[in-house]
Amino acid sequence: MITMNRSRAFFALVLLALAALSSILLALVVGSVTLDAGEVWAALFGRGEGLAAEIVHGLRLPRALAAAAAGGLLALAGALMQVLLRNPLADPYVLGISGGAAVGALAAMMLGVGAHFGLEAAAFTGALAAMGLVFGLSRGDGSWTQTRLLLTGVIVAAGCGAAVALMLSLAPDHQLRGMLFWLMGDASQAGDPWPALLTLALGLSAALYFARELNLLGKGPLLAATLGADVARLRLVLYFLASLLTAAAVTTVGSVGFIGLVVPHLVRLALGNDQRLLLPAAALAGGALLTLADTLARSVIAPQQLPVGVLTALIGVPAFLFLLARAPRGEQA
Amino acid sequence: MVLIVVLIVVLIVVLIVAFIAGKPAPTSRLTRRSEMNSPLLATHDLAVSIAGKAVARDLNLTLHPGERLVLLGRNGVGKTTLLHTLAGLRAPDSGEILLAGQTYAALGPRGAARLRGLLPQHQGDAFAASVLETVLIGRHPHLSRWDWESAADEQIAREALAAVGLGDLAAAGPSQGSHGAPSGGSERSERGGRSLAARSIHTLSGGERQRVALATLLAQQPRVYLLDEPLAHLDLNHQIAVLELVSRRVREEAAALVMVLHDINLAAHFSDRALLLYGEGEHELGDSAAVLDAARLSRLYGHPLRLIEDGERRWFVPAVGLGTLPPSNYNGKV
Repeated sequence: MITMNRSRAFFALVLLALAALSSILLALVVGSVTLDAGEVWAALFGRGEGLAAEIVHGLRLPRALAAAAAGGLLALAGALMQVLLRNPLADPYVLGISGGAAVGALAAMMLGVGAHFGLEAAAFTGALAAMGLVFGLSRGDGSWTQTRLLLTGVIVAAGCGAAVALMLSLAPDHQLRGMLFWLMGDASQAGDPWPALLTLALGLSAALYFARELNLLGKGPLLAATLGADVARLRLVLYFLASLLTAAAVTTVGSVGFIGLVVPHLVRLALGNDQRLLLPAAALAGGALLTLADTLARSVIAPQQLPVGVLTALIGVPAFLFLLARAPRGEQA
Repeated sequence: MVLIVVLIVVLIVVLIVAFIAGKPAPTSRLTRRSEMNSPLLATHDLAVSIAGKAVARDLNLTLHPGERLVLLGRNGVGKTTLLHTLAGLRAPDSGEILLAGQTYAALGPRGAARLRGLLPQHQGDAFAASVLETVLIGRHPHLSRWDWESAADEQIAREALAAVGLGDLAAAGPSQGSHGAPSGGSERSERGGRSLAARSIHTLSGGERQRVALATLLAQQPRVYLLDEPLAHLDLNHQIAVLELVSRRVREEAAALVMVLHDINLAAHFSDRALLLYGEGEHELGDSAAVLDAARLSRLYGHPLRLIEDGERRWFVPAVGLGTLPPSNYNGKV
């Protein structure tokens, strides 16, 4: 167990920020047309000219930034969900947000809505609908317990899963591949990355504003209330914040798995469980990991592309198991 | 795209609401002098019930600095409910609670957290944390929103750990050992060289975890201590040490103490006043020496008790043996 103070936390965050930045730079360099660092630098900061600038600005930079933003959003949402449900196994999808988004996106695909705006709108609407449904049902009689929230979320997610399976079985063959890619998570269809990045920045600020109260909540709602936290308000903010962040991420890159579950865990094992450090560290690490995974996904068997969600699982699972096995007994999660 | 912009606007609204709602209610800074003569905790015609069952009716209680009150009653009579109501965590049916002369509404959650602290019955640790981090949680109401715990806060936390006998030599601060740790010496030898403060709370025993929770409460430095079964999981030596520790705190800091205890003899020795909850809202409040007698306690627990005096202290002993068990216990099913 590591006890953090402000300067050590700052040092850890600087390191993670550097890692995130390097993963984005790597994403700019690697690809079917290999650019050297100088060309990327010139394209980024010099006058935009020629093929290099076009590739960097038109293709690789937006995609890398979208992956980074979505990774950060998912990791942050996962960390918040884990505190909200007081369960280290919670992930951003456990309450059915991604299920709702998937139903929306697949329905739009079946109806022949093209990529980009229509698809994003449908996914986002689905996510918000699932969020509202879970919230409304679990609030039912005005009570608001973790168990009830979790059960409602899991059941709504299961319902969405059934709807997704139904649509997959009914969909014509030529649409199946696109649908599967969306379900596994795919950054190649990502549009403008700036809304997602801005959402991440705002969401992180909001989360950090409550960070020390989230530490209290981890010790139990009763103790948190005794020490001056407004637990009911805190849970409401947590639920909506985590849900909106998840909706933004899923809308950007589809339901990429494992980032939201594994990254907060990795950060927790490495840096301890102080939310003031955990939340920004998870956002940076999630961004770095998803960018790295997306770069691999589009280059490892180029020109063919893999869905990035498959790679996040392939990278995340062994890394997680390794850290878990290394952590001393009794100090896990 | 448009939808994401909408989402950003929603986030901004959430942020603004959070900032406005998060502003601590203005609390008047109370000085020790001004409140020395007024009660730290007072209730007026308080009525408390849980699930339609009355816990207390017309409870008028005043607790002055230096006073210790013990809550006694059978299982399920509502001791914890009453304690939580006194802590402002649960609304009473009617009546008023004043903490250092102010209502909880006027104090706000943060203002209240600087004046009263609660030792909950159960410790919920969803995530691993070090012992020191767990104790530092108690400093929360004294820090402003963006503050991190200072060296002074850490010193307070380490002193609190030392006070409950969990101070460790490995990371000794300047004042270690001078704080009269009830059993610091034995603890060190028990645990060897590993720094206790750095250990994960998930590796602690039940009794150690209970003492860490007490250290968290001490680090909070409240004026009113509310303890829900502080002796749970504790060995005999630690039971006495903890009661002596909180009694000393209450005396030295002119604080007040309300605690739920199950051991009548410890309750009689370590309290100034006693509140007996008989159920159905009936209660009796008085000086411990006067109100704790064999007749009342026998009625309170529904079991005959005998008083034994050894010339120095009075001891209440439950009558045991065949035929002494009244049929009312466990509905007579034997």
